[in-house]
Amino acid sequence: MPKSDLAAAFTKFFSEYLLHPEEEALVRIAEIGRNLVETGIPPEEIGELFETALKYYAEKFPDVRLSETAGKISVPLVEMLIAYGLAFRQQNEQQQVYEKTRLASKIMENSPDGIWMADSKRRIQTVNPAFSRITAYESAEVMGKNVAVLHGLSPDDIVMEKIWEIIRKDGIWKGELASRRKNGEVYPALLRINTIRDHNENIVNYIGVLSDISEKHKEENIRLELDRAKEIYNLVVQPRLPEITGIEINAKCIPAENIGGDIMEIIKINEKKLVVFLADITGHGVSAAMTANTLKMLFREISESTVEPSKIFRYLNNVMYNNILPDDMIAAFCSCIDLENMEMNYCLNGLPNPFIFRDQKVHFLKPTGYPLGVFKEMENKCLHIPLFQKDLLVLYTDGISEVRGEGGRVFGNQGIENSVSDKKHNSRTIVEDIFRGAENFQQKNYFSDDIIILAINIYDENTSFHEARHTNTYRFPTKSVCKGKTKFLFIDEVVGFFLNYISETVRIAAENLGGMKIALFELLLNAIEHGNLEMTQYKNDPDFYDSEEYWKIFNERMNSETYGNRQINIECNHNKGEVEIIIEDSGPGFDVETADSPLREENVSKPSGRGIALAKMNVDRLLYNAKGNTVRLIKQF
Amino acid sequence: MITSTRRIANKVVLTVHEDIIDLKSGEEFKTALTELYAKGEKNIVLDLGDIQLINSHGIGKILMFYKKFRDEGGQISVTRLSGSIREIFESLLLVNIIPEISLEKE
Repeated sequence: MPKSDLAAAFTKFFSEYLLHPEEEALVRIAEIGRNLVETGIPPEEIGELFETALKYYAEKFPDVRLSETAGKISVPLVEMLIAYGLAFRQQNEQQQVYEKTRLASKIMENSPDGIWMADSKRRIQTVNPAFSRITAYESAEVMGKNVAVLHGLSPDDIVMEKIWEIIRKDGIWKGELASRRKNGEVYPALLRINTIRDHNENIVNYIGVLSDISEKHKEENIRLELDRAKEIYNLVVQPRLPEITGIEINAKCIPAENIGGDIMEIIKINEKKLVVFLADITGHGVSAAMTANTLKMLFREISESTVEPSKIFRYLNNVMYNNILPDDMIAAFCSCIDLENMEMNYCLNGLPNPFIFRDQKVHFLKPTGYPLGVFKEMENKCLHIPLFQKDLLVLYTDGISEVRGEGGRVFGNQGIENSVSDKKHNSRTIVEDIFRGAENFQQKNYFSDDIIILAINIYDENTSFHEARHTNTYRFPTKSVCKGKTKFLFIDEVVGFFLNYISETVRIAAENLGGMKIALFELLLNAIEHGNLEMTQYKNDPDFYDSEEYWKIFNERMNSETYGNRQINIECNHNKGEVEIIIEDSGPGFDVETADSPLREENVSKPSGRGIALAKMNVDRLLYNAKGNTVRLIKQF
Repeated sequence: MITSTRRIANKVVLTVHEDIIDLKSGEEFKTALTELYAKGEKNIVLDLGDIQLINSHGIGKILMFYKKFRDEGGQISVTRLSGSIREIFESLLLVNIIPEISLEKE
């Protein structure tokens, strides 16, 4: 191949390699390098070729900064230094040719990485401009100094000793090294040290390529801080889901950019009274989350001494007025639901209108005052409304009501009404319908503001047992929770709730999550039948199982205070493609070790007892606690 | 309906059309088997070729009726086990007690 074609090919493959550092391109570059050396091209021209290739790359991809390609360049650069160095040595049979070539200096001058070259005694022979930029050492002042000194270490430092030991063995070392600049400042360096050996395999040179990764470290630290802030927010935003007879709670929360300023809380005062709180802090991100955290703590504190919404708001306003940024404010709702007298007192300050859903119609609540934290003194009245069985109290933050659709139209109260009116609803369907309504209205499936939708269903436990199932649920991007009494837990519905959550978080259609559905079903069924209802002895008797008598006992236990009222808590966590589900029943537990194996000959034909085996087939890990009343399943997607 | 029946010679083939993975489908499956049992059918072939998944609830029903039919001098067999269903049957050793037959050879 003529020299010009080889040069063009070199430019092309080098550029390709920088974009997609794959072994194949590197092999081609090495091949071209060999061919170029064979053409008798002088070292100066190879150096220029490298420079041209780098310029070509910089011009062709102006958006990619050369410094960003440092990691990519390091590998071919060192390979080429070595490859060409060896090639020249073979040609001229003079070892010193390599160090003297202009090629080396051209390459080194153009590299965004700091490069040093040392002799066999690890004394610096040359450094490149990038090295001086990073370390502040000029070329002249480091000549002859030990490599360790350039990194702020003494030559006999134990860290350097370890590095040399690895290089002696493997011929290469790569890693992070806490180095010092000339002024003593410590910085993290990503360092790679290669060796050049003579014909007798003795090390004659060391080549070090380093980059300053301080910025990367800073970014990493900020990211870690944010992750921790998110974890705290995840804990703070989650409401308690108190078990109150006649109350069903469902909440869905989606913070913008995964950390937000919306919070909610539900506090059980006694069996007949609860306090509900929802607040939206202006702005979002870490600062809003910090304010939200403080607000929630204050709310919990004050709700221990009063259940009167106007008193609660007066206290929160007084404290928060001095503790939020001057341009921030808090839109909030607080109500005290009294099931004894079937009434609700509430304060509505700045939040979009909550409503009562009654007889398939939306009845918006009237506002009572200004947002909190704006005025030092706050006059706040409390409104009083009667409640009826089957009423649904629905609250949401402005992330829903202010959604914008085609032509800038706002979703608003009308959008809410259109989404839910003239339909039968329970607390779960109404939350989902509002959410989907807003999503469809804006024609996209992500929201630019924090969102909380909270629905509280008031029902009569004695009359509604046969017509509805009641569980409290909470949904957050990284977590979903479902809690309920055994007698009100409808297994297909609960499995559907979690499957829907997993489907949305791992982005796999629910119909393709059959294995997960089976695992969840089996373990939930176990928690109900074996755990809370303690039906094991009856289920294990093949002649008794499914008989009329069996179902009589089953139904008696299901409706009883002792068994049917036992709680089941299910929690599903999602983190980077890993889904973890924890199912906890309130039964006496069982000994996992001694449980009958469905594979034992006498058990193969039994109609029950293979749930755990089936669940295991469909998940990566299945673990029980010591008591045997909590199972944890983990599946990687 | 998640099942349908057809008769081939002296056998009734009960074809299951949807995966049995929740209580609802399990109960529908049970109802279909109960009807065949009540009619006095003796030879039942469960055609599972259309489904990919079955839970313990579904398997429990198969085993319960396997015994009921056997006690009446009849038999339940299965046909067209797909990959994942076969895996479940093999893992739980059900293949040892419930015969698998091929309808085409009949």
